[in-house]
Amino acid sequence: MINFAANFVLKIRQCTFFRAVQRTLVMLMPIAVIGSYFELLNELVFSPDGLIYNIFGLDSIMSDHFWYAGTFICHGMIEVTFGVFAVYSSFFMARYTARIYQKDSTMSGITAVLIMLFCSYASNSGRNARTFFSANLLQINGIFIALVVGFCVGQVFHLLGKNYVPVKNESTKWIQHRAWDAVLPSCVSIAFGLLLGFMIYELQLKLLNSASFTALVSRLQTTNNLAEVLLLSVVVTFLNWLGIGYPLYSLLGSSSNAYAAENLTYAFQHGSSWHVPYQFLGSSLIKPYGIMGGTSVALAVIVILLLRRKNKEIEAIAKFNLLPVAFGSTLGFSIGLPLVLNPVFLLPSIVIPLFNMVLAAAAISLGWIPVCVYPILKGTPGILNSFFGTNGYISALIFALLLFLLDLALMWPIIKVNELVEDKLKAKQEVKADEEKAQS
Amino acid sequence: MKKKHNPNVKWLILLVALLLVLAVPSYNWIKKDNKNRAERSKSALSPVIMVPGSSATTERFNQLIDQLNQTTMHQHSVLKITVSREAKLSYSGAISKNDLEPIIIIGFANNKDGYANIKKQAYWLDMAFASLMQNYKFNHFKAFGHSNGGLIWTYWLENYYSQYANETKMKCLMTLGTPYNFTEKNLKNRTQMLADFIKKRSALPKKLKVYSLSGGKSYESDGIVPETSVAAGKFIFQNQVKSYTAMTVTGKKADHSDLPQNKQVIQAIRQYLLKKPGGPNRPGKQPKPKRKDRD
Repeated sequence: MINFAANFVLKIRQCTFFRAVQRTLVMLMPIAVIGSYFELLNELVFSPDGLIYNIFGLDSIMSDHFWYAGTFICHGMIEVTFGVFAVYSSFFMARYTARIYQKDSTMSGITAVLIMLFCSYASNSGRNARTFFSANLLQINGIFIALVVGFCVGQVFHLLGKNYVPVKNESTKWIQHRAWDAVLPSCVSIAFGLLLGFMIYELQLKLLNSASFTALVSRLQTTNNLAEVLLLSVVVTFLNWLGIGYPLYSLLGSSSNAYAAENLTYAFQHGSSWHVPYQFLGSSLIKPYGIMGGTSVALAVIVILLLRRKNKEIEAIAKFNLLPVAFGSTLGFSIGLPLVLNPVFLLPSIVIPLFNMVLAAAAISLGWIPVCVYPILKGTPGILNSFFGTNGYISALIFALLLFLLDLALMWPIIKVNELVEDKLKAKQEVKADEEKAQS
Repeated sequence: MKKKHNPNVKWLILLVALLLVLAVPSYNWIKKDNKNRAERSKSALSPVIMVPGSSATTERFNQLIDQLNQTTMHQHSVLKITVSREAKLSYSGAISKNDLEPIIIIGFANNKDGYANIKKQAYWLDMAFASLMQNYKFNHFKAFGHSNGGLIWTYWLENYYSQYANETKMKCLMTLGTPYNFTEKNLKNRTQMLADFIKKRSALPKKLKVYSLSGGKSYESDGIVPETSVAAGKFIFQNQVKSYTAMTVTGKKADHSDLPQNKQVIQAIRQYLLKKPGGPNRPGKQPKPKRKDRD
């Protein structure tokens, strides 16, 4: 079974697109990890609704000067890592796509960056005169578009570019030659880019921002129908796997809506959340149980990788991301492993949250755990979300821990598949290298 | 198995320890914070509970409420409760979820006059009140009684209120044309009811504000209730509650049954009974500028 799954995944992984995506994301891992550490610091320590900020009363302890300095650094670092992550991704995506076909990779990377920036300019034009670029397209949450753009540019270089073999010492003459070779594919790519940007501008296409997904997110948060919650969460988790994190991000950001407020008022007036009017509200199921504050899948993967220790580098990535992931800052790991656009993790990324929510809904209707209605501070560790969301019910904590153990059990075979895929890829590469050696 | 000395286990244990160390103060903080929020949320709800007089039903105040809603920014939602002779409650209307100052009207199937009936009605009022407390848990409220409604409230305050005193406070009682001495014109002749009220006056809450409004159709009465009977309220409330204010409205619609529609009465309700517009909001802690959400 595992072998079959591994072969299947291997087939998908060997498509050019997925090969290039893997290389791109792995390359960008350090940037994403830096970003997630600063995000963690910002949410925990410098957000007025952050965990450490509140429980240690930093509002009165921390001087304004220090707070402004800390916020400045964190925001700045988040902006230059996550804020323009799509620029980096489009560069490397175009580069690795072109390299797979032995074309001039650097030039194709620069072309992709140019197109991304133009599209971002186009989607901003006329709306905000103070900045040139709209942040939406460039953010880590919209990385999918950047990867597609990068891939397309790489393909144009594949079709129109001249073959290119890197040399050790590049003379000016050589570089001149190289630049000249890239003129045709660059121009064609840019022409396509112009067309895309023009469409975005003319049709006011709101490509990927939280507004485009408001309807989806608010429907998911405000429905009390379990079937609908499950269905819509499939869409959200799939988009997140695809590299469109906006819906999930805004789900995690706020859970305040009229129904949640009614539940909360009820809980305040009755002293507990056992019999609130909306028991299966999307916003009270998906965040604390489905994705456990964003951590369920990522933390399960990390724990298993740390326990199995099959691959030194992957183990290091897991160890490095343990802290931010436990506190709900998962982007560094989803890019670094990667979980995003990794065929192995498509199924678990969708199924595990569903599984968690079905069990949570069952436990709620059986009266084992109360509903999560109380506000949760930013940076609350994922596993503790339900504990604090029920105003400290120990049964909710135990339930979440058991749920996490189950998630681990579900994830175990997936990791095995992943290891098998890695092994097979490695074997194939060795064979290929041997063949090349024999040929030369 | 080689997994025996897995150095990563120590990282996992460290993480669990860190979570535990954080969880304890977080737990305390969250408990405290939620308690504060709950208190604020409860204290925000402050219903006005109205009791009509004899021969009147829960529909008695419709016109009054219409006029109140026309002249205030805030629309009051209305819940009507009728208590049957067997103390069964039937409801109509609803408290809307964002209304912090709803109007609740409690009427009685047996709405006849007389001291014996007023005692029964006070018992029925208590039944309805207990159910309200169960459902809405407000920690303060305001009371309004027209005619005998004021007598029912007074009887309830002296005989039933003490059991709720820890949970909820009556902030203000406004009675309108309430005959504390029934139809007796001479203050020296105290009816049994007035005598009882005066005897038990020490049970009245010390922090209550009482407004007694009377109608002056003639110089002596509002057409039905003598002014002296309304004024007899001072023997019950004066120097017992926090403040006792008596007012007489005259002019158009100053007769007993028109009083709830009287403009001056409505103004007095707005001014003394209801929350002031803008409300006494607790000034919150000034938050530092929030981090702009990335969108």
